[in-house]
Amino acid sequence: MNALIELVLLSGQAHLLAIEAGQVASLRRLQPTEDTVYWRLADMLPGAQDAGAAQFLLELKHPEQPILLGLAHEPTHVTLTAAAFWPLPSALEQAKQVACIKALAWHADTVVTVLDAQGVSLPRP
Amino acid sequence: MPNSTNSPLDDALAAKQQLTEREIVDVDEPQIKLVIFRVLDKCFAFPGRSIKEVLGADTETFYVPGMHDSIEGVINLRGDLHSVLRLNSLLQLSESDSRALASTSILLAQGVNIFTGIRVDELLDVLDVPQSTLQAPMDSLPAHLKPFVSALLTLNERPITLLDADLLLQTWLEHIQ
Repeated sequence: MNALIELVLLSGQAHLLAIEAGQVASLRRLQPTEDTVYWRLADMLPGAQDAGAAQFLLELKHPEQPILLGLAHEPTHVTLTAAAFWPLPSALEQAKQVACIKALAWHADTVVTVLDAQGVSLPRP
Repeated sequence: MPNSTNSPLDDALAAKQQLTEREIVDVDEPQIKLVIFRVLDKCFAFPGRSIKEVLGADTETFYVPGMHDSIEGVINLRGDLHSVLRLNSLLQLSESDSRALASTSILLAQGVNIFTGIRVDELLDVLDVPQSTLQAPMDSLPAHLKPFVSALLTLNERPITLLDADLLLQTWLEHIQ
């Protein structure tokens, strides 16, 4: 239980979301003039809201094609011990509305919803 | 009732005899422990064996996005994360008033395959009642309640619907699919 797990933490919302660092290909600042088509958090996860216009682009690895996720706040890198993670409680596993919700973690006195980029349903809504 | 031809001692002995007989009946009668609660203006109960713990309104709940509307979130209970759900939709009741959160409780319920918190508007009582006070559900019980209502009873002139926690959670699973 002492293994270390690296996460990319998506903050700036009422609730914390995270993605395993190994599923992130790159991060860059979104240029004001570029017209790149990207996902917002609410596209991946109903109920998630990212306040403000996208300032950063996070590229996620996906078996079919890379997913560009626009974020209002710069994500951060954190390392948690394996003991900080939980599988979804059985009621949540049954009640989840999208497949990309993988687990829960406890960090900074709050719950983090851990997403699985490979479970994101394509194409973008 | 005291008889006017009896001495005060006779009356006292008769009263004592009545009390003793009542006590004997009470001891012999099978009892069931109930956890009685309210959702909006309706009173329900779970058998005590189904409820492992009751948590107060000060238990912090954390929202988890992407869940069915009946999921309120999760709680951290002594280092373990547990789900919390609301029954209003399953019971076909309107949403509870979130401003009345201070009087709410979370019942930690054990089903066959699910261990979860259930938010109730108010915990009313935890008490033992004679099993003879339980009445079979009437045929006129609303169809949405029939799968998980095990009995009806009246306490202090208040009608209470006894729920089978396991059947309720199984029905909830079907309800959210």
